[in-house]
Amino acid sequence: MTRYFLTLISFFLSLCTFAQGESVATSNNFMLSNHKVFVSVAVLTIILLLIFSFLFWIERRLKQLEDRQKN
Amino acid sequence: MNLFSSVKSILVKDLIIEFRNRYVLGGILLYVFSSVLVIYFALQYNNSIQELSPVVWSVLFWLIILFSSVNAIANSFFREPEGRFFYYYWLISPQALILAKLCYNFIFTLGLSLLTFGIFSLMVNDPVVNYPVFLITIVLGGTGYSFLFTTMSAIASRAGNNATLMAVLGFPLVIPLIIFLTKLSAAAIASPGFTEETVKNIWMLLAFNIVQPTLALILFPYIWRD
Amino acid sequence: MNWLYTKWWKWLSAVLLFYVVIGSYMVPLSPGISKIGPLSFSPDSIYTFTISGYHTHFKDPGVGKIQFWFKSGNDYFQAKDLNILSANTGEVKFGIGSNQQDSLKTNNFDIIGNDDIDGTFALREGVTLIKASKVDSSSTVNATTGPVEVVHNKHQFLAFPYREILYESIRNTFFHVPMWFVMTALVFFSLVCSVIYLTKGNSLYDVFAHQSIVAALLFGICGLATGMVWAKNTWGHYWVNDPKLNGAAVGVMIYFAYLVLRGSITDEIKRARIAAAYNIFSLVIFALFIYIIPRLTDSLHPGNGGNPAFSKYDLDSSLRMFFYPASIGWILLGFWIFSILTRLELIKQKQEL
Repeated sequence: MTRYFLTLISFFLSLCTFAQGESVATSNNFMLSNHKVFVSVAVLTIILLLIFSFLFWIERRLKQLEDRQKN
Repeated sequence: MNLFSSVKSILVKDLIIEFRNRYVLGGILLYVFSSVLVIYFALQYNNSIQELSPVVWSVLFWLIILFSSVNAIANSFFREPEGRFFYYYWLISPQALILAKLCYNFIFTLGLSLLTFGIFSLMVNDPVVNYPVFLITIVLGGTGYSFLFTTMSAIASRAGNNATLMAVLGFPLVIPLIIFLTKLSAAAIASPGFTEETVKNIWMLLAFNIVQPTLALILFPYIWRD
Repeated sequence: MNWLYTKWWKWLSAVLLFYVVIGSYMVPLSPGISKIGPLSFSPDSIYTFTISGYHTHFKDPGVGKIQFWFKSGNDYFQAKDLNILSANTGEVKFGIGSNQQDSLKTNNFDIIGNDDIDGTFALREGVTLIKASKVDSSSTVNATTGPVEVVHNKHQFLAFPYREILYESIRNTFFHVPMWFVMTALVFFSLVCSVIYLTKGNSLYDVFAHQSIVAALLFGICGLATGMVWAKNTWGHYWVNDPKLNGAAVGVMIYFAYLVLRGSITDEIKRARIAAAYNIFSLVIFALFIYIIPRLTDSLHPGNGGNPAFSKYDLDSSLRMFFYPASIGWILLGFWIFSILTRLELIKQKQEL
């Protein structure tokens, strides 16, 4: 289950490539001028936060299991 | 028993068994013949034998050899009954067994490739102009196929004699080999001389054929031990 | 063994990846020319070309002298009468005499611009000269090759290089490339573990080898996914015939075969030994080819078949600022996932006892 979930998450990670801008721009400093870049950065940050909090949560669960096995 | 004599005795034993059970040999021959026939009819009824390009010709040729050698080599370890390996285990070193199997399969695959070439040139056509290069390719290709699939059949035989497993394990590894083989035989069809590219490809295949049996020799004792 | 349980490198990977994701999106692309019109011109008359810049600062104070050249071969022809319309667009007048057309090395002109903020920026083969059939000697139009004098050659702010075809997708360098680094690192780690297992016979190393392959496959699939999206954007198709791509696909296939092999043997010790043997055998054969085939045949990837090497000028200092942290961060994340898988497997094994 963990394995599948991790796979799924890593697939989401690859979505960041979709969030990249169009190649032809008209306004100055395309990525910053329209505020889309902040949206994609926010989405990416949330995804990363989710991944890392998930990983740390698993770490804690594993620690509990290991401690239980030791006793 | 020293290494050489034990290799020789297993090799002779395998060859004798092969000729006694002629139906196995006949089965492989029929396999080659019928696959060439399938290709012949598929091409003939589309009237495209004449415009067969060198690359397509060599791909078809090497694919037939690939499938028939997989079938032939799969027998080399699967055929032995379970108990006989224990017997070998007491008699000879694992290196001797794998060397004998490699030699045997090399002879068998080489014969198979030459035979396939014969049937192929009879039935489909023989566009080869550069026979030295083509013969080198057949020898190198036969060696590469036989060494690779002998190792894979040793692994697969330990994993419950599963013939599908052998294909699954071996086919990804055979892709690079087939790239060089088709390149070389296409070159043998297209040009009469040795080009720089041809020599480079021959060296590649040679390197492949040295690395493979070395690895097999080192790793087989671990595979074989129970 | 203890390093599986220590926390600091996991935090380091989190920090590095946050830095990379947020930082790389905030850094703009360096200036470039995205468009020019008209696309072709004939000799003996003056044309007005509209040049569209990308991330340029024509209207900023301190922009200094803005200059444009039309470059053919090694000749820089000065464009005249610059008229700045906005921060990103300008008009220049340029014409060439028919008596000059035969001395040109090529009919395709590169457009080169320069100002004090944006440095030098260019559009390769932007306009084409349609040569006149005969030389008109009465023409007064004449392009001059002036001396090229600039204040700054490089842009004066932090920016990623502007590359045609890649454009903004250059940021995928921090995601796609490290995926393969992680996969290679984990696969070689697995190879080492398999060798140790065969010599020492400690079943812990078998668990290591197995779980690192699982983690490596995860990153291999991610590498293929990021690469496919990138290939669609730049080369036009999700899958192109490229030795590196095909090699990667074969690599992923080999490791799926490894998992199938493990699944088909029930006896634990036998499984560990045979899987280790297959792992070593396949990796050595595969490495032999993956490092040689791309060097023999043409590849679309940088660094192969006559393409410029990756480190040569694809990676400039601004990319390095994010690329190295990204590589380290992703590799640490890969080993983190590996450590979680391993600990899970060890717990499972203890449970069964």
